Amino acid sequence: MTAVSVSLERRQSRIGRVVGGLRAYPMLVAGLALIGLVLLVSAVGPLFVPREGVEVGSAPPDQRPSREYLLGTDTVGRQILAIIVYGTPLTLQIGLIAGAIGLGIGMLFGFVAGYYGGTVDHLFRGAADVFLTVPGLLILVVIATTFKGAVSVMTQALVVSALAWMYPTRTIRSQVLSMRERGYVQLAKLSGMSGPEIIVKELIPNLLPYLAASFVSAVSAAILASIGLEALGLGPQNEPTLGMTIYWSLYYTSVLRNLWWWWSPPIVMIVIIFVGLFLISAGLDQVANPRLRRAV
Amino acid sequence: MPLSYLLRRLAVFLIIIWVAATVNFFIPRLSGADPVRERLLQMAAIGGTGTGTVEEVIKTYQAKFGLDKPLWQQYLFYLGDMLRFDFGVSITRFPNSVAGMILDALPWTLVLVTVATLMAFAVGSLFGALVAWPRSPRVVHVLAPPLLTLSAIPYYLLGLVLVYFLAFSWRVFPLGGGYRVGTQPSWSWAFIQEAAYHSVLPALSIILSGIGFWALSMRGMMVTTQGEDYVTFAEAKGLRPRRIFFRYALRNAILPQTTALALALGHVVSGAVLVEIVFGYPGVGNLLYQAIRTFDYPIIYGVTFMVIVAIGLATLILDLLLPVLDPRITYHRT
Amino acid sequence: MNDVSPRLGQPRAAEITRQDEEAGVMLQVRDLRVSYLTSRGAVQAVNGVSFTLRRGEALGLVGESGSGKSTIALALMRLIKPPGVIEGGQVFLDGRDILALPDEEMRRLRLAEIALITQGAMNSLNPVMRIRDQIIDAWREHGEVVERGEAEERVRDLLRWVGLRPEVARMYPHELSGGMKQRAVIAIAISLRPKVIIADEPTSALDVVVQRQIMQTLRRIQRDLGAAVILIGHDMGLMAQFVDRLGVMYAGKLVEVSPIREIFREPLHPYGELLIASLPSLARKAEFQGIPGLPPSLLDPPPGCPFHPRCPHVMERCRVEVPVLELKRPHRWVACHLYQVEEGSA
Repeated sequence: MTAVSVSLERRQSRIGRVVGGLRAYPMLVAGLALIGLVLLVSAVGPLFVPREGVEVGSAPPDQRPSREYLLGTDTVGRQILAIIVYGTPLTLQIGLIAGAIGLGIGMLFGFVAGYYGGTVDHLFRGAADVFLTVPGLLILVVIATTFKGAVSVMTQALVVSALAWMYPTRTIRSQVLSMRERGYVQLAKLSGMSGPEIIVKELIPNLLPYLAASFVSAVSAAILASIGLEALGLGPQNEPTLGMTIYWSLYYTSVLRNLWWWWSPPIVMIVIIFVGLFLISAGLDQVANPRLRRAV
Repeated sequence: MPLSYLLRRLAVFLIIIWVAATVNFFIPRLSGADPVRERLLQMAAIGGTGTGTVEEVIKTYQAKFGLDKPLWQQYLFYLGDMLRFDFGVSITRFPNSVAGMILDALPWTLVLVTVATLMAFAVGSLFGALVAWPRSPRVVHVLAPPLLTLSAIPYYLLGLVLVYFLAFSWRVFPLGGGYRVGTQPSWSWAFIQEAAYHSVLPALSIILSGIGFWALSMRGMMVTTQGEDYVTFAEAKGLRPRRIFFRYALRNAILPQTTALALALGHVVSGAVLVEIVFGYPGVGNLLYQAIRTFDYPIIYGVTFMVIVAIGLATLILDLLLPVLDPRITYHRT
Repeated sequence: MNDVSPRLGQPRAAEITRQDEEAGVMLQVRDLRVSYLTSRGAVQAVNGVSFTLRRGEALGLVGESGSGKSTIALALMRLIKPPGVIEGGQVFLDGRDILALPDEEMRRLRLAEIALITQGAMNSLNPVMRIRDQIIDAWREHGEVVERGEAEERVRDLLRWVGLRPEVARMYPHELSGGMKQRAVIAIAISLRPKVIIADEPTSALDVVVQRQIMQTLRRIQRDLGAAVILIGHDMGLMAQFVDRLGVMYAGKLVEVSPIREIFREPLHPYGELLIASLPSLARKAEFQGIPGLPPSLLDPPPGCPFHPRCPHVMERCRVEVPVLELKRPHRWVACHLYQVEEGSA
């Protein structure tokens, strides 16, 4: 056999193994499919839907869904379809950035607290618990109303990330606590590896499913917080994010005026995103904890 | 209950309150200027017929906070005010005191949130436990996916959907508010009935969304518990499945679940606030919303502080309840 | 509960050997097979195990981790959970095939006729119930109605029997030491005077001194009850002191079952030989002798005799033909091609 065909075979069998592996986690696959759908809309949508639709007055107001305006228009003349297509990626962006920051902080706090223990542990864990107890949304409200005015997507993400680090910190910390006493960690310590080295080389690779699950839940928390803020009217005022759309629809009493096409597409989108994220994190939980898997 | 445990828990409670108050004090001032003062000056600048009132507000404000004094002194005055629950007066509805407005709105929120959350917790936990139990009736497994999906929807969005279908399309429930327009709140039975009727939809959005969340959480705990040796031994003892379910599995799984409740309170309250907005329910959430729209800072800070105190109190109660449930928790550990 | 209904799994007459009839067989296991279904295939944890247990007898089961010992314990109690499944075989408890019983009947047998002392009593007690409640609830669920006063006294007697102070009744598990917890578990297991007691590594997690005490208690109780005991473990020394017969497990199969003294004097199966040789001895100083190689994968076992890759006496035949557990010498069952069935053994 030539080298080329050997490597091709190897790659095919690896793909086969991945596919076979995925089949064991239907929830993960379903979640990825849903998120994939959302990403598709965000990526492909702009190719078909002109951005002007997002501007105020780009179309006659209060139109029901029709062939011309597929999802209708709102009270100030924005086209809902365009809002969904251009607003969804913004919401995702905020979630991903805030989630990544949250995971980063969570990893830092969680690993240090779990590995080194002692006062550092008490400090980080205590901070996480206090911030969890406090209703984050209200703190965000205080922050956001202070810096009223031009809130950009980036700022929104930064603000929201203040709420996304607590669960990752707790999860990572508890995992590290249980791993700290395992054989290979002790071995690494004895062979002279330093703390940070052990964390990076030994702990992190073994915690990948947990880290992935934490990331997903951080993103989920971030999106939830951001939509909450926006629904109160404290988001980026000029961006058609999903939360702001809901805010405007409430502001213009769309329910009473039966403008159902205004608030239902954002809700549907939000639900798809959350259910997708939820399924992914449940699937990742199954990867990490075999006991949760269904018997094959 | 040993004094040391009680004191330790109280200390945690006070720390949370202190952190909340401090955050409330410093964040607004991070932007360099005092937002309340800015707002007042703004209103004064707008001028017109409201000027006289605004000037009174500014005078009251300055007398209270002594803006010329150094920051640390302002901070101390502020802390003192917080301890006395003196949040100042509302800017937009001068001279109503913020504390008074909060006191009017608080019972609505408290009743709604407490009842709805406890129901969601109880029903959700039981349901989640049944989902995890291999011998539970089929209907549980059939109901599971839709309920779990509901948990992924934020409360207030679910509320929106409920309002549309059950209040607008089918006029089964009122569209919002806490009571019919024009009625005077009172303690009469008729009013309570009316209030309850208006509370059904808001409560339902919290409950439906919450059931899914608690069910999921409980399911996870039950799976872990079922793998424990004492459940295996209970079966080896020849106990009936029902007894094993309630006294061995559920009874142990409810412990981390209660801890989870204590931690989720912040999230629950945040959601409830938003639910009130969707329904125009006369609780602190709506108060906050109106305050945000008009940048009525004293109300914003007052509500934030009060809510944090309420949550801290609830967490304290749960913390003190936990050792009753779990004999392993001795009062001498942190 | 003792009547043997003709329909419930009575063994066919021709298969009952003379020995069974004579000696009062309590438990007869025939060709038990248990496997775990994993995504990579079926793992044969117990691969055709057969043995008998007589009244009052103590049978030991030794083997490395993964040899299937604990699985047998769970299978005998019918506590195997998915992804595990009992694939075949029969288990006759006092003449009744318990594998064929409906769930509710099996439930009633548990603890009353066959009891399990679990591995690691550390976790076998419900953390939120007092000890006495955990003893009493088993009685209630088996139809014994006792009022408080009588119940308290019975509990105290039971605790005293296993060597625990009566105050333990009111305590929670976390207030007890490891040894005390183990005794409490034993107390529960014997509280209904079962006919068969399965003790799965009852002392593994305890220190040596406590181990000895627990084993002595167990032996005393066994004699008092006249129960048959299966002791599962991997400590040969402990087996030597406690059991009448020893069964050696390897890769899910029983490779030897012999009276304890004879197996120490002259182990027949090569694996048993290596096991005994690896025991440190006070008599002679020698190097630590382990058993070379690793236990086989139960997912994909080697052909022929599962031990052949590590066997110092391996022959060609061993690589292809699976040896059967047969009575090769008087009272000695071995599954090995080294031995022929001797005259006068069957």
